[in-house]
Amino acid sequence: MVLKLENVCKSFGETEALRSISLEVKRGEFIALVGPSGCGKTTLLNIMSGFESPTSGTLDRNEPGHMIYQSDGLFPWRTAAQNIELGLQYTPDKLHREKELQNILDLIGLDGFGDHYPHELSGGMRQRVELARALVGGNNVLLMDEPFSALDYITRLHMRREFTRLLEKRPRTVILVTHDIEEAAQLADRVIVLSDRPAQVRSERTIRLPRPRELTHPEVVKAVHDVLREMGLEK
Amino acid sequence: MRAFPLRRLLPFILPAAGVLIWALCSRLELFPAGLVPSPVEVVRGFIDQVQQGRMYDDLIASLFRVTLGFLIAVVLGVPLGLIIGLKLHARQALLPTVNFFRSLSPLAWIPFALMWFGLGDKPAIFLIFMASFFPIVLATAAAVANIPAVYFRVARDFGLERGKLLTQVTLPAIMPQIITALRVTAGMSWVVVVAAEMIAGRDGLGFLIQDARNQLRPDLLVVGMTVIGIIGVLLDRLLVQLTKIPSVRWGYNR
Repeated sequence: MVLKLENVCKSFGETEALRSISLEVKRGEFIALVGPSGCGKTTLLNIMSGFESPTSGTLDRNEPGHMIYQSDGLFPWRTAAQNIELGLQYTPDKLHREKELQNILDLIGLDGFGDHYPHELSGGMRQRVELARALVGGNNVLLMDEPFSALDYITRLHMRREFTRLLEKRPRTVILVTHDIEEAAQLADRVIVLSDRPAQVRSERTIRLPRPRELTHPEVVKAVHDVLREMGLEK
Repeated sequence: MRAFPLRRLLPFILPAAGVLIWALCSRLELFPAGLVPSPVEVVRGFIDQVQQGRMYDDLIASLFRVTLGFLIAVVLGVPLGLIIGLKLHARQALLPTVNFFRSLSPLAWIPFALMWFGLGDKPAIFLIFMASFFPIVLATAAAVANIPAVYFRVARDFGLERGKLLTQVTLPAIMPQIITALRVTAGMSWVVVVAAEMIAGRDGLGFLIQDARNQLRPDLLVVGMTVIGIIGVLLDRLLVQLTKIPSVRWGYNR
């Protein structure tokens, strides 16, 4: 078990954001949290990352994690390589750092782009640098806040495949917050559907299908249907 | 091979045409006598000033004052702006006062500058400081307040704290706006130094203007104005170089 929430509640003043959320995440598991916008998904992620603390309830976290944001989480004053090196700053050996940097640049297909600044890269490339920055340096949990939602549809599909490939090479526990139900169904082992604010766990849908998965695979399509039905969007 | 693109000449067309018309009008004696010098008189006046060594002395005097007053304003203004931008209480306590002085024309300080510092370098440096310090504080504070929150989250995520947070996140994040503010305030300082020297100077380009007026030398007036304008443009060209630093380019490519 990597992460465990028990009866987590969170209020901001009068506004109740989360109500009694319990959730257990196992090592290597890929969890997707979906729900209507403004329901408190991001708040939940912030609590899991330790950025905010719950009003009541408990959070057990065994491993440090890195957050991956929608876009522009890269420092624009640092080159792609310098941004990735942020994730390597606690790797003491310089040679090892350089090797790891080169490895990850190769892995994300950005060999030769290390000295480019973020504004010189496309949205998809920037997102791959974000992933690389979070994947280096041995942290085991990725907390992702709608990481691909700023990309266009085709690029998003590419990024899902790319991300699946990266996870095969570097297995991680992933908690993905998204409003993209297809994305959740194509990637996650478990899709957790949250209700309107205050967010509660409405249901859980397990998808036992190895990755990479095709978006049009019957299992994936069925999962999309189930989640949509759960949200009251399909019958 | 076209070695020299004609496009490069575009900025010089308007000044050249102006000088040409001016020369023509002088030649045809269209101006009232003694009010507008001819280009020849101005060039003669310029050569005269250079040969006497006055031009060089005045130029150095003005540049020295601007540089010193401006540097003191930057060295004190940027840190104060950082504090105001980062700390809510500092903002509440200081911002209205800074805004008050920002709205006060630096020229209003001229009488006090004379009373407190007499003539020479000091009153001019004081006035330049007063002209640039408050805008720099405000620009820095605004830049800090506008840093996207996500940068601080990422910084925290990667364990950048305190000193590192300042040097690796806060400062680089505001650098493009700081450079823009430096360009604007350096331009203002250059305007103010002329005014300061006209009243409180014994040398400098502002004093050159004032002196020309007292001697009824319109040719030297034009010499002074031309040099002041050209140096102002060159100062800005110099500061524009800062925007070419790779780690700040992002701020100008939007």
